[in-house]
Amino acid sequence: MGGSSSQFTQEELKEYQELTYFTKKEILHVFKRFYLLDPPSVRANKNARLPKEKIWSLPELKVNPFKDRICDVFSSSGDGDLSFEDFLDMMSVFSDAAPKNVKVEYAFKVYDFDSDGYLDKSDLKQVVDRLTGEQKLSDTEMEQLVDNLFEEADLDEDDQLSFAEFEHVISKAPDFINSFRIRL
Amino acid sequence: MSDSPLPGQVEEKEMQEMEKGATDGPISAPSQSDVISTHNILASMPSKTSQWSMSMHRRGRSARHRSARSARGTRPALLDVEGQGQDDEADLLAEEIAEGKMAVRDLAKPMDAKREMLRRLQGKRLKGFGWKVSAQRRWKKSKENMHDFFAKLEVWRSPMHSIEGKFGTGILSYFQFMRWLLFLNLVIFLLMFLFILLPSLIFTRQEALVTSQANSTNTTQANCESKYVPYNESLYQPPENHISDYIVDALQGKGIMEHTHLFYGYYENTIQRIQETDDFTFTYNLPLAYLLTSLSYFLISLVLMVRNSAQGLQESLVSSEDKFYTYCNKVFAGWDFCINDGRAADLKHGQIRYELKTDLEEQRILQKQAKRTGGEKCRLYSVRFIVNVFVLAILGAGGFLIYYASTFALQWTSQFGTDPNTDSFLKLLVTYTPSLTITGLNMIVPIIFDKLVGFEDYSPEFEIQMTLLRTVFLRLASVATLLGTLYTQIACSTYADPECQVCDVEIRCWETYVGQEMYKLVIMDFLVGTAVTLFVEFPRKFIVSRFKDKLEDVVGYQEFQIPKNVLDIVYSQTLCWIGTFFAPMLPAICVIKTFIFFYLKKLSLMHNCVPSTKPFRASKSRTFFMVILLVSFLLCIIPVGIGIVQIYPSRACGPFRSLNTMFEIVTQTIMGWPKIVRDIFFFIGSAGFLVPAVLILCLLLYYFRALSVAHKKMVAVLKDQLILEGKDKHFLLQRVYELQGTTDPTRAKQKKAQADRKAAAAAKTTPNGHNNESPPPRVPSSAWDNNTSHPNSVNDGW
Repeated sequence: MGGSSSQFTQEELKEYQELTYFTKKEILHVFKRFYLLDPPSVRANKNARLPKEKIWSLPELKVNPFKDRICDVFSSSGDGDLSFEDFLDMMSVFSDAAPKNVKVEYAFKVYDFDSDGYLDKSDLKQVVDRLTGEQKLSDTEMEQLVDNLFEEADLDEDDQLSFAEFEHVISKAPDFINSFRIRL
Repeated sequence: MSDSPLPGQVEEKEMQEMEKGATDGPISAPSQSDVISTHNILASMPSKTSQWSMSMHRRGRSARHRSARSARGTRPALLDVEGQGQDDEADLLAEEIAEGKMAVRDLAKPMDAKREMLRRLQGKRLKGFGWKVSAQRRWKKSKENMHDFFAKLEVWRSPMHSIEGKFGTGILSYFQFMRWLLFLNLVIFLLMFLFILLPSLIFTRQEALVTSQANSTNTTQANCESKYVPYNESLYQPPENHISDYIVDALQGKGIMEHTHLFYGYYENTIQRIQETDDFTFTYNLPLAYLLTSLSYFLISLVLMVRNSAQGLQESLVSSEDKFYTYCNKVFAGWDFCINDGRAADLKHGQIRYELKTDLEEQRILQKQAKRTGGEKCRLYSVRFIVNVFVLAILGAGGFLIYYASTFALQWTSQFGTDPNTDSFLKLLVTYTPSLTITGLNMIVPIIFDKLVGFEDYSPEFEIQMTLLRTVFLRLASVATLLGTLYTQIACSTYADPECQVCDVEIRCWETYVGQEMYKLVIMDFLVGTAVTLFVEFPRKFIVSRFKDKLEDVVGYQEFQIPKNVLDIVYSQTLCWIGTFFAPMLPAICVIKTFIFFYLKKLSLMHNCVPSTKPFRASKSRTFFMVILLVSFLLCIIPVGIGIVQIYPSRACGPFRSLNTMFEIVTQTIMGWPKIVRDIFFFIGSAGFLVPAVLILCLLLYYFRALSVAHKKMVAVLKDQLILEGKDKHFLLQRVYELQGTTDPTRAKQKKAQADRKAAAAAKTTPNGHNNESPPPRVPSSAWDNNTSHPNSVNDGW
């Protein structure tokens, strides 16, 4: 990609810089990665909306069990397809520089499969199922695990995690900030 | 699952029945009166009866804004009260951003919305605060540029990236640790280079000698210097021996090597002239510089370590505070989003599954363990006792072996070392016996420990920790033993001996001797590490992949074990720290060594290893590395400290050759200063200053402890409030459905089911001793009172 820097005006870059956690160079790098996902259509229109199947070919997403959720959450059209700005948004949230509370908000959205604003039992089960891969936990193990999760996190004992509870629990999960990121 | 109910289930059911009444309490109590106005309902909400509303004010504006934002931003609220429109919210946010409390980029909104917000703000900014914002922006801008600059400087970015992608953050943290140590050693090297080596090379004009006040030592010094001949050219006469002699000398740090700036003994005890003007001469006091630089490298290491570990320690303290959150950590922070490799992803799936299963299993085992019979307990404890005695015996035997080896090496050398007929290879071998013994022990004993811990029947996690702890002891104990042995050999000197030998052995410059020992250990460590990687790990991989079906089960691919590898580099850092004082250029060797090891380990990792099945977490490991490093650092300070303040410096060599202790140079320098400064220094050293200082420190410590206790209480209170908030919601929903006459039957049913389950859960756990039977408002309010009064009481105390 020779002239990638000419794709954006200085103003645009400056604005992106203010809206994301990236430096100019990093923004151009993100664009390069976006371009490589589907060179023909991006060359035709840099604001092209790439279908989620294309987005999933990003190596980090390819193996990610939550890739469809991530795309849904970041898609501004709501159907999982990402424009460059959505893509930039996503990479920004997953970057090292993004603060924990922003990451937590998005993590909550990703894990909230039915998008009802709460993580309930079925959400948690899906999360665990996707984490463990093909071999799933047995039903009793799953019950025990979900019980344990609620026991730890569900402060108001309504059998679902609200955002506040989730945020609280993540503040006690030291690995979160390390794991919820994608290197550029 | 069998049809008959398990005992646990029966219990649970009974509990449910019992608790049902209790949980219904706060909800059904207000409903007894039939006619209640909305106002009354609100007033009787659990939180309203406590001081909840007051606390809401206390939490301040930003918290309120945030909750408003997250409530709207992340979910369509159950009770839709968003009639007031989006504008208010947006305005609030805009205000907050303009005040610099948060950035536009922190909004959890798509790019368009953020841009919209930015436009709004620009309109706003025109109205008000001008220069402040622009100054802030400029500051931010320069910060960003700095960040950009440092990002470019980041070493090994791409290898790190590929390691992270393939093996995850746990192993990455090991390599980051290695990089950190590389920089630490580089800093130490630069210090030594700039303040010790360079001055002694550049400033060649001697101004004066540093001597002790007692003049009698000067004659012995001259006498001893003539006796100490590290490099005798006449021994190197036969040309055919030349090369091999050089190699042997280089490996031992003797002969021509000893006669270089690498070792302590080569440095002079002089004050060098830098520049002179008409009435004043600028001088450089080499001995003083030597001592101060050495002290400062320890200090800098300590500061860097503390800085690095403080954050990690905080995190791990938070997490260890309540073991409570392990499952959430594993589920919500379980997936490593950095992984970009299919095989690694499969492994990660497996790892998470394995971890969750073992945790659940462990939970069950713990429940079982609580029911262990007396006889079983007795047997287990006796087994553990025997194993521990055995471990101690091994450690003791190892210590003795090292002691024996180093004594033997010294005696042998003093007997045959000067004999020109002795084979030089044999000589080399003998001088290396202590290092060989230590390295051998380090290789064999951990394997024994690994096997032993299996008998003790600990939980898996504790098992790892136990083995590690023992191995750390072994490593540190072996270095300590070596130093102890050296100490007994050096510390007996009275310097009455006209031959200037320390004790009865052939050492004339003990500091260099210690430096040589450290140098040999470093070299040995390097050679063994390289050899193991090249001649064990690579062939193993080759053989295993060659005879895949037959051998894979027996030998298997190698796992990259973080704890063992970390111990290795911490050990080599220990050597470096101790050795640097006695061999100032040792850090350079350490830097090179770390650099080569990085690539070697990476190569081996990428080609030979599969990720360990025993997971090791990044957050935990970072703290763990630093704690081990700190422990070994403390071990390093002790011998060097003793060397500085207690042992007589050698008369024959080094910058302190005419002083009674190395520290004397500091007192001498202070004595040379004007009286007032001297008095200040002596006052600082006296009890009159130290006792109040210690007292003040204690008081500060107490104050911060009290503060942290207060914070802890605050956390508990806030937790209770969160629970209350949930109860409010419950209660309100209950009322709503009651009043609606269950127009939404599914919802109501769901709620009912949830209430039931809640009762069951409540029966199982009553967190914080918070019991449902007590009326909920009481507990938080009392807790709140407690807390509000607490800080005051602390203040009163002051």
